Amino acid sequence: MRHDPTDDELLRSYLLGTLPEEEAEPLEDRLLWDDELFLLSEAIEADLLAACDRGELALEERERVLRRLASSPQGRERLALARSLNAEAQAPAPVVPFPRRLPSRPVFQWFALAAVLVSAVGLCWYGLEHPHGGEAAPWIAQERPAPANPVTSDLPLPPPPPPPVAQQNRPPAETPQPAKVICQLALMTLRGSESTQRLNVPPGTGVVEFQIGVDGMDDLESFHVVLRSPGGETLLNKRGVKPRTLDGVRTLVVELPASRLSAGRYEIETQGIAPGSEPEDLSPLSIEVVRSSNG
Amino acid sequence: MKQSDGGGLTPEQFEALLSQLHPDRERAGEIYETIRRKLVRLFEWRGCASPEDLADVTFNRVARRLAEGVELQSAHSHGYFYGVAHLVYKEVLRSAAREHRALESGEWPPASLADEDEPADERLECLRRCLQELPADQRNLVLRYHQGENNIRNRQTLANDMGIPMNALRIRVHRARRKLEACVHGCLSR
Repeated sequence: MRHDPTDDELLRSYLLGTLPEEEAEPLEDRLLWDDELFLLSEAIEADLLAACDRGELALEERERVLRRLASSPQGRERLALARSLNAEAQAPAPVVPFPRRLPSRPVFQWFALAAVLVSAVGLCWYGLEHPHGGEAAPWIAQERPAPANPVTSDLPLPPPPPPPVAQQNRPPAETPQPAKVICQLALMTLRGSESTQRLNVPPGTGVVEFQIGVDGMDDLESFHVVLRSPGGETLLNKRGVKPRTLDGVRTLVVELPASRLSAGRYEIETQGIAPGSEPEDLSPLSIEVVRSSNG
Repeated sequence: MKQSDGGGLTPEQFEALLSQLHPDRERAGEIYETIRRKLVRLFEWRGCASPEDLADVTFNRVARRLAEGVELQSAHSHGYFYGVAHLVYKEVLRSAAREHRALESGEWPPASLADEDEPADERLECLRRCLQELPADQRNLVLRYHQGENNIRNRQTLANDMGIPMNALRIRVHRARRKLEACVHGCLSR
């Protein structure tokens, strides 16, 4: 639900008790059916309580907040939380810079995991085609020595990729199946990181599976994923992608026939959708596809 | 408050209410909880002293109307609840003004900032624990949102950094704050 920019002023007046009754009634009606507006109203209430605690309100507004929003037992609890949050936020403990999301769509300046995924180590590797879905991880992922850990803002190092299937101590499959390349990415962004994930697609690869970590974006229920070729052609345009849980990590899984990927630089654009909200642009991901002769 | 129809619902009335909210009972239960929570907050924002009781009175009345044959139209069910809630509120204003703690009548004494200049240690300790339970990005978001001398400018900068409108930022922070609120409440109750 897109809100009128004046909604916040309207809600502020309503919460302070200064909105005329003829405007308050239709607003309350909207609050009952519009979940997003209701959340915004609660958010503005919390902002007022926090501002009151910081002494940022005019005297009359301060009195209204204390009497209307902070006098009930629940209101006092909310005021206490606001006070604690204000105190904690001012504490000298360092706060990790917040990972940033895309400011405007076509500016491809912030790239996610690529910043820490050294291309020589990379998280793209071969597997054999094997169906998976729901909560189950693909078998190739299950064989990893450690759970998948798409990079978060705390920048843990990625686990080393498993060796190519050919190097693993496992009998060869009886029936040859198309090889799959799995490429792990994450949508947490780091400003200024311009590096690009290298994706090696050897001959014989049937499918490339992109696993895009979206941990920490619990509010986004579904995603719109677009993959564009070096020439700007849309190769994949998938809406309503629901995250799966792979090794405990919320992950988007999309596949593309390897034949669609020639050598060059590709962009993955993703939007996240929270219920009742406008789609939110997430940081673009950049992939450098290499068509090698020996993988 | 003394509401003439403040009594409880029979199981049959309650079931009838749920069935009109949604054919799937589980989903109907969710809708019931959502509407109830919102009604409680609306009564609270209106300055009513017993918002939970008034929300229950509203539900009881709606359920009785349904038992009398009124049918909720899915597209307007919220509006029907709001209409009844508004009548309940008007009655409160008329017949039990002393229970209405609006600006002039305040049943509860207004909170005082001077009462508690520093957050209680226990609460702050709980908050710190609960912050650690949030995903790192949400934790940083909430703390950054509350940081800074010039808070408005700080938030606008944050919204710009994230490439989202200010109200979307407010809502995102509030979602995390609600988790914190529940967590801190649970922590203090232990």
